[in-house]
Amino acid sequence: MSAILSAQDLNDFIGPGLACINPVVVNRSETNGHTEIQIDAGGNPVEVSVNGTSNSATKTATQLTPAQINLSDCLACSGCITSAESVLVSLQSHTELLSVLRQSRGHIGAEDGNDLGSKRPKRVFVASISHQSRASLAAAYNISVDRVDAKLVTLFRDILGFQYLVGTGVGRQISLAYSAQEVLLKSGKFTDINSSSVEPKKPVLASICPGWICYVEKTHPHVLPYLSDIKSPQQITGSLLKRLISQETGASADEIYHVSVMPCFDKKLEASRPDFATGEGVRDVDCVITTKEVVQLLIDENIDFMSITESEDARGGNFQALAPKLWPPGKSWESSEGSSSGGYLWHVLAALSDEIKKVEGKSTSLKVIPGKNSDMVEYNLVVTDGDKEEVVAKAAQVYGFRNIQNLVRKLKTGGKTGARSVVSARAKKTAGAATATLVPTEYDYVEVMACPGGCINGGGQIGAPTTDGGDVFGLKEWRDIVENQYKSIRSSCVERHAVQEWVAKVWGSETDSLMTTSYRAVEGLDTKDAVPAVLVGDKW
Amino acid sequence: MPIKQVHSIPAHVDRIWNLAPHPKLPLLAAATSDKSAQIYSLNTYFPVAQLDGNHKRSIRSVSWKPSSGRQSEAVLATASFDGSVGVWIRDSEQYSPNFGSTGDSGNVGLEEWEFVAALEGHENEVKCVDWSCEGTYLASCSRDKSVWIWEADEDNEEFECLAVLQDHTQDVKHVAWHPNEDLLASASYDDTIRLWREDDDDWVCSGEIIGHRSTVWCIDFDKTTAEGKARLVSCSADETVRVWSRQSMTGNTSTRDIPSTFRSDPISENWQQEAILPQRHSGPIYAVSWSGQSGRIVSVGADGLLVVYQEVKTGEWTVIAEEEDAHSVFEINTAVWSKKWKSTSPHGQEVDKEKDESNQEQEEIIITGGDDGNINIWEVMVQK
Repeated sequence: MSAILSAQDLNDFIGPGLACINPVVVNRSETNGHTEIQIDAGGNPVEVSVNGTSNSATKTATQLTPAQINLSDCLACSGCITSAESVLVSLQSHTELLSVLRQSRGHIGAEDGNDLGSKRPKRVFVASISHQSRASLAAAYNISVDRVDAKLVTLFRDILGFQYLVGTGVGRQISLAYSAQEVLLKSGKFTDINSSSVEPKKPVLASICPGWICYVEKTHPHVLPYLSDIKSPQQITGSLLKRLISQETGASADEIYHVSVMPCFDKKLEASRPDFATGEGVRDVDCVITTKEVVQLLIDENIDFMSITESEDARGGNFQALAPKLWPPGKSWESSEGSSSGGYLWHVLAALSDEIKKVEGKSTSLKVIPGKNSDMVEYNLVVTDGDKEEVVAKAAQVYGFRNIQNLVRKLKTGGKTGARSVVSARAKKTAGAATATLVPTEYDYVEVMACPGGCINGGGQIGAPTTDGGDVFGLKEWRDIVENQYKSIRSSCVERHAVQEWVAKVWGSETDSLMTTSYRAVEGLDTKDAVPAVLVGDKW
Repeated sequence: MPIKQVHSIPAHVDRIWNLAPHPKLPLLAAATSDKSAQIYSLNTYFPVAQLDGNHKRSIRSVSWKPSSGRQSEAVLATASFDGSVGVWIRDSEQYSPNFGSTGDSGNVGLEEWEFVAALEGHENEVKCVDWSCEGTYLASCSRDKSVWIWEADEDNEEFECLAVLQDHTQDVKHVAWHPNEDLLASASYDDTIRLWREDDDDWVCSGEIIGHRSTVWCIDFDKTTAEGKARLVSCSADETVRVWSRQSMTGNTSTRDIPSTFRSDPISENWQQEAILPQRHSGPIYAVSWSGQSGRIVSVGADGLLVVYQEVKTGEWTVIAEEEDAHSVFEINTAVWSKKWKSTSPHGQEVDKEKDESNQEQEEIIITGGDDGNINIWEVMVQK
């Protein structure tokens, strides 16, 4: 069983930053004597100012409060927290989930009237599972995704005691539909749907990858204006679930405990963003656990995944019995066209193509231009008129830190790293370039993911099995296996207008709270200007 | 006396961090603590240019691009503590290829070189830069524990990041490319040396050299190796200089047409220690350089000692020259071998070529830089 957990460490693909960007602010008082920190009789730290002018030192003591850094602060830092397992474990982990389940029920399993904390309100447990996590489990156990889904139903509902279990497909469909609409509005190409309040903006960058967002907020604030406003499937699912379940059961939002199974650790940080909590601090997603942690939970609870019975309620991909009443049947377990990171690029291009057809009556074809490596690809929507080819829209896929570097740099300088302006260099970059050169300001949309290969290769996914002799599969081979499992999930079309109608029916007209979010630059120490406090040895 | 100081250039700075002689032209670049790179002529030892105004902190390392399209166009990369790498070009149209001949009194006005690119991305101090053997790639390494590989376009203005390699667990001090393969080596505060190669479209760590017991400060490849062979020398805070050689390589590098999903062998190479050079230093050794001309190795360090070693037979080395207090009481940060351009001594005396038996050995010089802010030029006289 433990062979399934890989030896990879728990880190995400964007490397850790060194400095904690939340500096402890020290209030210097007016006393000009020096101060020292002592422990008083009660064992509390106090700062004592020692007045040195008189023989008998007069002391004034101020109680010190412990310096606190909470998860939300660390969100800003993207670095030390994603690698600091101990902090993550304490706040959002499978052990935390088990403990919450136990507290609520007395023991995991059947409904129990006398739970230990009898004054606590009965909690409603709901889980949402990402498609990538299902694919990862299917690959790791070498069974079909359908069988994994059926086992997950038994695991969450019958063994762990959840009342609801959904896939993230509904959240994703909404996210895709509104992201496509956002790009149409911001592309500045279509006057009929252009509302005057939307400024044209190119490119619009996908914002559903929290690793990417953390990196931008912390180190490249000049990229912020380009980010899409639309929330990720995880968060939209959370908002929907909390409202629908609350309406159905009468439980308040804080009595609903929403667990989301995701392919990476940065999703835990996304769930903790202050933007995704209501005024009373109730979050749309209470706990994110990664695919790896699901396996760890099985090990800890001595559950053999392969022996779990495959629930009948999962038959036909329906799962209606496990979803809130207004939940569209089956849709949340269905995947979408396009990349295994959500298919954003695909849907944006499809929407652009449809709109061009509708408005200008022209059909477009797709031209794929590979970039320097497999994680960077450019797509052009081309209208052919006889032998003339006109590029009407451009988009790109940029995965992985090294490609993100190039994207971010070019957005800053407008395409040139250099100070020299040379006309001849510009002439070389023709529209029909053989390999894609990243020119962000020409793209309508860029699907950005921090992990090479995208979400299917997230840091929380289960690694390739190993035997004593070494790796059974190479990294790329394993990635392909998981990707194929993902593709085997039935996918459905995103009908933008149908989605919008459903949202209006279920959520009402004030869709911003369901759909949109915002980002902010993080002020922190500029590590390049800061000199380390301790210089170990002179040479460095 | 086996080694003699033939000249000293006062750079008027607090400290010389790094030196690099141009592979073809008589130019010497010096990375200095006053945020500038100084360029000297190796014909006259007089200053040619001062590259300043762009970096905000000391320049820690300099590297010349091996070949560029235009003749005598010199391209220099500078690595700075300000977290960025700068690229500078000497415009060959503006300046003649003549860098001042011997006998000039040095009244030439300083040249203006152009700052063409700033490579940002490292989180903190960049410790070293190096161009690959044909100038295809530029590698940089930093205190942020990562090694970055960049690729430039023809004009050296558009730089694309190809790889961000984070396998080292501590500050990376030095990077150096193999003289004819696209193989990169890096040395770190984590006591290891790592080797990097391109595998498909990804750069990966193909090997690790473990053996030093403290920070590895500098590495240099043997430039005289036969094709397919590789040797490198490293120096460390553990006071040893060691030579390592590559024993074997797995994972194909030549049969690139097999799709990666079929190849299950990851690319890897096996390096073994070939020799520990005779111990002379009593302090961290900051720099080593392996001469491409004579095959000799020079090492310098915190103890102010300069040592020259010669290989007697493979794996066996002797010390042929030593100089104490080479920069008086100061630490020596860098040492490089260079072709000797100046055929006369600074005082204009002709060397009698017939009488001087050790004339052949004088075709190369050693250039060192230290905390005294001086650049010293040395010649090794070797008894036959």
